[in-house]
Amino acid sequence: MPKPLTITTPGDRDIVVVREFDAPRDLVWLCYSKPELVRRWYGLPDWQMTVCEIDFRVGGKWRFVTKSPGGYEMGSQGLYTAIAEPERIAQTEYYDDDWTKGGSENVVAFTEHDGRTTATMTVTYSSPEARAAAVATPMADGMEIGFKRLDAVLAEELAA
Amino acid sequence: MQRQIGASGPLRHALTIARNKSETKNFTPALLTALAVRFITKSFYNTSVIQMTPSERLDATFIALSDPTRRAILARLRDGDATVNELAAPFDISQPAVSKHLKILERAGLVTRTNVGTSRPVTIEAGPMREAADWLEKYRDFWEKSYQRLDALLEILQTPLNTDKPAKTKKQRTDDDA
Repeated sequence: MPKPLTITTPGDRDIVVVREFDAPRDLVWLCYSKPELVRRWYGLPDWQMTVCEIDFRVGGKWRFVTKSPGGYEMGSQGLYTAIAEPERIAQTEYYDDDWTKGGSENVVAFTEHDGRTTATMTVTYSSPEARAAAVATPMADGMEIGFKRLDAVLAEELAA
Repeated sequence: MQRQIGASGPLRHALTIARNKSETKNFTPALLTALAVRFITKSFYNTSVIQMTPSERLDATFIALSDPTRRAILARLRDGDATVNELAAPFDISQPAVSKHLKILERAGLVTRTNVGTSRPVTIEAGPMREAADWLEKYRDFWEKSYQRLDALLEILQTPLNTDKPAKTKKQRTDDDA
């Protein structure tokens, strides 16, 4: 089993997530770039991926929408700014609700050792304040928003 | 009386109003203590993290932590309370500058300053830091769960196609039998 990921916050605008996989780099690369494969792993547990569009070329657009069990939809999108197969993918990311106040630049770098691949994801926000804003959402509050919507639906059903 | 308990700001104001309103003889030490506690608590709540939403608290915490001087101040406070002068000593910055940093830390609830005496020692508070750590833990959980599914997917992708397997086993058995 691969080791659990490490997460660090170097500098005042970055979040860095490092994880190792028991697979060669070419395969991991495909899992990051083919929508039919991305669908099978990306997202929150129990959330359904309703949109997974990937125009995998520099300047190409990507868009993900995931839906909570309560019906709340969380969408994000951006452009691919650099693609160096099979080493590095750089892309911008903006949430529909602009939780991150100006989006972020995400870079995933892949290195391979003995048939194992290490993925290093660096998320860089536009300012320390933007990172703070991102930190305050959507992991913590997204779910809460979902539950609130569910509450509203339940209340409507009960009132009818 | 005011000076003895170091009353300042809202407390002093409240005491003045109270004293003007009623007779001084009613102010027993116990009542004064109760009043002091109430107003210190109230003024602390008004200016602190208690009134913020969790989201705003995290904003305040991460903004407060995004400066090297403030991180150094917090590191120093882990060793125990300190006055502004003591905190300013290791830095090449003025005492007002340190006070400004302290205000930001205070707003995030990362430190508190007691209203006792003139030195007003600064104390580190663990609560908001824990909330920030909790968020990082959720972020970690999001990616760890996604990556665990990626592990499973990578394993499937690396497994030879099922259609080959039974055929091969069958063939081997036939060979062995023969």
